[in-house]
Amino acid sequence: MGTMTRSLSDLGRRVADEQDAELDRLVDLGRARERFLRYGQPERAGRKAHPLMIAAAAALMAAGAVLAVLWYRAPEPLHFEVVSRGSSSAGEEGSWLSASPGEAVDLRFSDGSRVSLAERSRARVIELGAEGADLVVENGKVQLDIVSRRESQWQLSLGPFRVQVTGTRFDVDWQPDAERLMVSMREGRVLVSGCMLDEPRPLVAGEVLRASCKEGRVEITSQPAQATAAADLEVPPPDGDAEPYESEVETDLEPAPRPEPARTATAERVQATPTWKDLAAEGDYKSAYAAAQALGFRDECARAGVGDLMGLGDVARYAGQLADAEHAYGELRRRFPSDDRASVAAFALARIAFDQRGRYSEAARWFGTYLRERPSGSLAREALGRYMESLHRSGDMVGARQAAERYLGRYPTGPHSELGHRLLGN
Amino acid sequence: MHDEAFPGAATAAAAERTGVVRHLPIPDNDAVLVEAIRAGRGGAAAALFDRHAPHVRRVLVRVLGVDRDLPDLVQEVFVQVLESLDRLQQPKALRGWITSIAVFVARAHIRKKKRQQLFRFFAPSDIEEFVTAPDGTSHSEAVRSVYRVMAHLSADERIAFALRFVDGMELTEVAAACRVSLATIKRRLASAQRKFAEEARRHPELVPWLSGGGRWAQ
Repeated sequence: MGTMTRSLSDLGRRVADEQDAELDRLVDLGRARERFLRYGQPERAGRKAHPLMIAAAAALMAAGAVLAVLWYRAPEPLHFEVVSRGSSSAGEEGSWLSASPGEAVDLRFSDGSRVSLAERSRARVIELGAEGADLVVENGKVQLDIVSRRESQWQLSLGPFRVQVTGTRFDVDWQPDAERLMVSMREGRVLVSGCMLDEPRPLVAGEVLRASCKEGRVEITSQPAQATAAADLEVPPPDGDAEPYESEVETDLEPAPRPEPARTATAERVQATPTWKDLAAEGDYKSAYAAAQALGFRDECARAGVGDLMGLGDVARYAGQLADAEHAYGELRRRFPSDDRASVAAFALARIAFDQRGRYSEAARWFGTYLRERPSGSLAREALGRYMESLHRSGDMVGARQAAERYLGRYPTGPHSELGHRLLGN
Repeated sequence: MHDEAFPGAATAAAAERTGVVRHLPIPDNDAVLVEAIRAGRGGAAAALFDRHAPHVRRVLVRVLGVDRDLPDLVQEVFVQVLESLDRLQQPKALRGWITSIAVFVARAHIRKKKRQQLFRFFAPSDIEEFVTAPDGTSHSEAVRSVYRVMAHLSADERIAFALRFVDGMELTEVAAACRVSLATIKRRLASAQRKFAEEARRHPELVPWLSGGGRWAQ
């Protein structure tokens, strides 16, 4: 089996595992059976199209085709402008956007929706459709004012969380280091899911959700809708003259520092910056790796702090430079053993061993390390599932079955539950 | 007391008194099942569904991913199976026959969706971007991205790709499910792999999966 085929098979197996855990949610066979037995046969059994009906249908289709030619206008995907300090530029799908200290960056979409990044926030519009957009918020505070339309489809990804939006006004604050999310609703309704929220949780106007993935805690508080709506929620216009962005609700999340009044704040499209960090932020990992290599990758690791070490490891991993990735993650664990990110580095090492090197015993050791260090961490479910899978693949059936019992006890409907049941012969 | 200990006893006795016809269970055998359906035996359609619905559901999910029409499509497959069963020459091959019908139903659905995207103004409320729609599942971003990328393949390529790599079917099984030759399936897969690799580079969530092999990273 070639490398490409193996990569595809691994990816496909992962897709299948996740799908298998959700099959009953996607199609309830009990209801489908009832419907089939009640309606499926009689409706279809005697169904014969009359020739006149066929002729009428053909005529309708012909008329429809004429109308289509006359009236058809393909729905165009949304587009957006990036506005900062009064100047604007066309936004590009896929590029990262960041707001420097003391500035706000405004994204103005063609359907009238508006997304405002507070200072020090980073986000990316990953996909534009005719009815909405998919956005990733990497960190920071973002205000959203999504124009409500019947077919609106907007989605927000914030680390392990997702927010599904139709039309509404709300604010989010995502702190990836602390793995904390806050969603504060002003109007409308959204669905929040991910991390400990196994089922999508609706939020309505006036509600504030605070979730900590790290602590496995969710708190939803209600405030009078008017109180939040009445607050001055406007993100400062990107000309920088207004007050800096602040969330309208009290929160234990660290507020963003106020900007220096005289400071010039300009929107910064991260696209042509020379450092490995900026290139990585753009998603150009090969160039980012090359930039880090130009500085001497391992020298850069020796100089780097914990955050940069994690970044260097990720850049090398995404660029396919596995030895350097392992070096960076290893350095992180050696020099910062008490930092939470040391456990995340263990998880990353496990993924390299499993996904890219096919060393399943080694993968099991690293997944086990993560689980020992962060038994309730945000990656614990995935780590335990893959620990079980690693043991299974390495031939340690006794260990795999023990892991399966543990997994099914904690996550009975998790993505690896089917493998767990198979291992236990259920 | 007796009724409490054996709750079904009184009901069974009543049924005997009123002469209810009881169907014997249909053996766990596809050839017998096909004969039972052709003979119009009571309970045969239910047995068909019970035995093969999980497989049909899995095939549809593999090919289509998250799609709100999945329950309708499962029903559609079984309706078509019943309608076409007379053409099945080898009753033992029922499972493969059902798989191929599921594949054809999925293909028709993909094509219908693509047509709807072209003529969206006809019924905008009925149309969802079936790859990116909010789906209420806990699927990872990587899994969602896989289906976003697969949306760039033709219907035939997408089916071959999904059955081979997501469902893990052997090449011969994929060819049989699509009712084409092995050579055709190999061509479709080669084209699907190339397009998938090209498009997947735009999705950072897939990079770790794809950068493992040298050819992917090119």
